[in-house]
Amino acid sequence: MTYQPYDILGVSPNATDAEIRKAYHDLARRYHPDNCQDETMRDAYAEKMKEINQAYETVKRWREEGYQGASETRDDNGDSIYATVRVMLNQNRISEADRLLEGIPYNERGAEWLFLKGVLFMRMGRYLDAMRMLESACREDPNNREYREALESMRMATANMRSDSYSRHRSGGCSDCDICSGLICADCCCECMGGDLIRCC
Amino acid sequence: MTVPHTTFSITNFLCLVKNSGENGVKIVFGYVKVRRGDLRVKEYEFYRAVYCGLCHHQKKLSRRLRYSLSYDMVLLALIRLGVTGERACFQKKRCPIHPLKGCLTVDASESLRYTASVSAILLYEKLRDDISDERGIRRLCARLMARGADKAMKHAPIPALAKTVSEKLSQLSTCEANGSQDVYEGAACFGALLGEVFCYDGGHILSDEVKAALYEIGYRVGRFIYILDAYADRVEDRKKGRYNPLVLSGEDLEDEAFCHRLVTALDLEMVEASRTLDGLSVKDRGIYEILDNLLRLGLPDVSREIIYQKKRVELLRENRKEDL
Repeated sequence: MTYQPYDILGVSPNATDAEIRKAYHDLARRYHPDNCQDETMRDAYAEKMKEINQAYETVKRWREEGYQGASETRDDNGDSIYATVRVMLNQNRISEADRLLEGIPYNERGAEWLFLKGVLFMRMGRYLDAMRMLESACREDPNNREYREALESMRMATANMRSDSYSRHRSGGCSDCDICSGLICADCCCECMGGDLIRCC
Repeated sequence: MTVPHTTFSITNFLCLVKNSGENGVKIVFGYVKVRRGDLRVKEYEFYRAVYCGLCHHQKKLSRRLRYSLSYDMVLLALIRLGVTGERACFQKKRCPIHPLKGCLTVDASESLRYTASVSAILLYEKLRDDISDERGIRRLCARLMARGADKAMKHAPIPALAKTVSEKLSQLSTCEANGSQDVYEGAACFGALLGEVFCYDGGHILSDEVKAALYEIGYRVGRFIYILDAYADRVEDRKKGRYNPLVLSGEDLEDEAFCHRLVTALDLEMVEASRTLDGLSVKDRGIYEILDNLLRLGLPDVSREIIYQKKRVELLRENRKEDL
């Protein structure tokens, strides 16, 4: 139920505000009754437009309320808290997201809780804790690609950093090919002037 | 007092942290090193020359300050040189350690004098603690050195910075006195201290953007050093019952998984620092290369050396394998 307004707008719950606004504008342009060519479809368009407007208003309200919005929906669906946390993380509202996560009782904390807490720690710059959380999330749910990718991206970042500086900054230089063609060129020049650099050609 | 030129340092960024009183003037090797193999020869020469130049500037402030020389301070000198765009030219100078051969020094007075003053301030703060806590020969040593630091601070005073540094240090000691189990709390204090030192601008020559970037780099390096040092001292601290956030955190510090995690976490600090450095327009290509080497390769190498207890040879062998 919680995702419905997002589905209508055709965006994921963790899309940014700008993405949602863009999706809304696109849809509104497409379904505006004035743009309707077929007279018989005009009512259907108006209906759709109303739905889109409502969905957009709802999403906007949720995002403005943030914390409160989540406590409303918390009873019917535990996942919705996580969805709200994701939204908050996208909007960089770190402390609110943290409060929300800490509000979840211990026995309900699963792999997703660990993952989100890890991402949160990452944002706070507490890398040691972030690694620990993400590793436990992966242990808890080894098949989840999102968790594994998050952990992997941290390791990749460090591996990229330590890659050799010559290949990163100093890509100039010349390959074997360059040397050969250089020699052939030099040979041609020499032959023009009546000399010879490479005997056989 | 003859001193081997490269490894001996009575103080560096680090001694400051250890204000628990058990240890006096102790030899700490610097955590800030370049990966030599990845520098051009001219860059390495420049790096050495900045070190020697710094030594000469410390001598100008006070002869005794010279013994507190360390490579850690070269990072500060280089980054200041890079952002101020000060002209740095080579000069040949003699010193007690190289009386005949002499050594190449860089003479860039502003940045190097600033760095020398900073090292005087840091030394002074450390010694003040030692004098109150130590007994016997160590206290005597501290007294002797403190006179040098005192003189240096009078010679080239930066009162504003001295005040900030002592504020940050008292924050750090409160956090240690509270017995915080969170290594990032102390790390943030120490990071803030280095950040302030890096971005201090007495003459209003740096733009706000540059200052923010300098602060960020100092902050990251400070955090890196603090956490790494906490790990390096774990055994000794446990034995002597000294404060150590990592020991208090109750994790298994010898566990392999923890070591991997720690190395990655420290690397991520340097990822941030080197990204900030890339955003900072360091005009001198050579200085940029050295700084980049320090942040991206040198410091992570040191963390591996300490955490995995690897010898330099093994690290070199690994790097070689990556190249092939």
